[in-house]
Amino acid sequence: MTQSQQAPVPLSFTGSGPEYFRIWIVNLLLTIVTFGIYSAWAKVRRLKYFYQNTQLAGASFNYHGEPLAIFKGRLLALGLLVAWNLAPLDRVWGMAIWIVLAAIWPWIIVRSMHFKRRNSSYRNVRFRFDGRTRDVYLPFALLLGVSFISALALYPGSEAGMPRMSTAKIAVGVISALLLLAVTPHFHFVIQQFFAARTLFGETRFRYSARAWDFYKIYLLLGLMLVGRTLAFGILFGVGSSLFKQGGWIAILVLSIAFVVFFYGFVLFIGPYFQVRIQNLIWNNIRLGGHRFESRARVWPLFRITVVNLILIALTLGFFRPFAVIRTLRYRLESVSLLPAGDLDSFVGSAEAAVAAFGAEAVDLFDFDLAL
Amino acid sequence: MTAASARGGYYDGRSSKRHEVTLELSGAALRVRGPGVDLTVPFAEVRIEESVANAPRLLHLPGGALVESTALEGVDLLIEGAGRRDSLVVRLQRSWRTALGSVVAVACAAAAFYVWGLPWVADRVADVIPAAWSEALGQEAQKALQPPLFQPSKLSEEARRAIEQDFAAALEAAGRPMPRLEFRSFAAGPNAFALPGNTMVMTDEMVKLAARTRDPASAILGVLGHEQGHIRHRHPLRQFVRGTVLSALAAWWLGDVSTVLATAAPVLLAARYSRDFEREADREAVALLRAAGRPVEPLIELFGLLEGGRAAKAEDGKAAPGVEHKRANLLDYFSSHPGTGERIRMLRGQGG
Repeated sequence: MTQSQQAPVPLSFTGSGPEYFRIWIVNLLLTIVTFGIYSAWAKVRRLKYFYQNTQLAGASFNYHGEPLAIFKGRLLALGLLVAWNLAPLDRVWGMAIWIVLAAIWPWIIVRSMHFKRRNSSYRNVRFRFDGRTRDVYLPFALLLGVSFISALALYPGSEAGMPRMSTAKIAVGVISALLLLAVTPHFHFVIQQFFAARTLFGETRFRYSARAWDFYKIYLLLGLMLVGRTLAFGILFGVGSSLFKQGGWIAILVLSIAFVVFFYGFVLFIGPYFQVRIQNLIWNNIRLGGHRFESRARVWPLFRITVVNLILIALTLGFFRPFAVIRTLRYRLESVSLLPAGDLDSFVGSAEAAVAAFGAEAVDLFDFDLAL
Repeated sequence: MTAASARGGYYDGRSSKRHEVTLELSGAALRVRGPGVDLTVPFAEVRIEESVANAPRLLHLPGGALVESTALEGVDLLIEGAGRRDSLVVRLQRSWRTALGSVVAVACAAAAFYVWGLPWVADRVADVIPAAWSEALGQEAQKALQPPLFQPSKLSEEARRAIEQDFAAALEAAGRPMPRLEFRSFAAGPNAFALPGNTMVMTDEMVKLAARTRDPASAILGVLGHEQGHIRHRHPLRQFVRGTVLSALAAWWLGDVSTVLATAAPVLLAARYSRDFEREADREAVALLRAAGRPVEPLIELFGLLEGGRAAKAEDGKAAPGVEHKRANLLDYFSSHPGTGERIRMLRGQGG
């Protein structure tokens, strides 16, 4: 292992809210006017703005996705989405659609990763992804299978009268739900490892050294915070109800606000918590040749950014969104640094290979965001 | 004018090595020169990436090499000198005037879609939904009519029979089909509602409240006529489709920001459609009462009782402070039903 001796080189992000707002609003208008067709072209312009404004050691990244390929992917994804939404209307067909979608889901994610990596470049050298669907099929099948059993067992009976649930059904449901809870961090680990260790910059592979236990720690800490919040909430409730009897309405008002802040605040906290912890875990455990990375994102600043974004988005009926995106992106990107072991000149580019766009868009539509 | 030139980095595409170069325009060609690099390529063959504001300019040379330059002024001069300019979209995306114009256009488009477009599209969708699906939705909704909130009706057999017969006779006089009518006891108080499909529900509590009016039978008939109006115009299904479209749009617009916002917004927005449906159902109630030769006043009285008598009084002119009226109207905007005052005015206007 090469020890890095040079000073850390931080990623810098030169995007600005007002600039991106103008790109975003024109994209939006053209998308509306063309009944959504332009959205594929809008996506390319958006990503080019993000990538080209991200710089490392004096060179920028670039995105090369073809709008037409993305457009075709969007059409297919739309078809899947419609099928998914029509599924509940008929029991037999619905089940068939559900199984087919579940079966091709890993394939969609892997294709999307190919498309995303292949169309990213730095210093005129493309990234690449060489993961195969069959490498992750088993973990996906297990996760979907367990969630399916749990959902089926815990779904209230549809017989007339009171929703009835047998003890056996509840037991199966609870056990499978617990099992799901127990394997989720491991699944997260397996997928992230798959994404990272199957990525190449030119011909050089990224090495990834995080362990499953690191993911468990992130989930366990969140679980502990959840327990803590529930306890605090119980105490607050006790105080609140005794005050209610005394009829101090100001105290009641203060307590109800505290309730909302507690509940909603915690819900808002989960997102930034995961983003920061997972981002740090991945980047601090990744190597490219002798180069290492460092991510020093912190939960509290990202939480503050998220809350301010949310308030301003609500006040502007959504028009603050482009500014919010830039604020979040800047914080997340600028907390990452490269710890170089020598210069960045010796990476070798790889030969061209075409990748269909289908996967990237299906994932885009289903709102499955891949960390950084 | 001196020949435009700019400094930049040259990447051949085979490795990540950066070569420091100077870009110059010589005639119709671009010259890229530096230690170890000396290229002259026809400018027409250079693919210039759309300029992205303050990000470096990227020039793709034939053969897969790339020149990246942060000396924006120099490069832009050079590009202009070669007679190349940014695409229309890129120029539009740079101008504040277009941006503000777009904001106005987007807001107008959204408002027009909300008021006219979405109801029209959703109704066309509702038209092609088979009756069986609509009935299935209603059955799904009926599952919610269960204890502890809902109990079987405690009204006497004769009382229910009388209401049903009165309703059937009025429908026949008006020449309308009879929907399926169910009775339930509802813990949350007086109510009546129509489900997707052909089923409507009357609660014991509403019947009991109607008993306090001067003409209970007509008041009940008015309520049934209202719910029958919902069923006749397929309001529950149409509201369901409109709500679904609104939810999908809200999820797209706000879903990645906050699920709470994305859930609350469509509920508030759908209220407007619901109010329109309530008005239409009120007109149906009046039509049914008229066809049966019955008075509208008892129904008005019942609405007044539902509101706790407040609105009815205000309408009588005894206590109608303008301020209170205004506040009520503002709240109406987020309410699923029109204000009781407005409904009573409307009924009086139609029934009188």
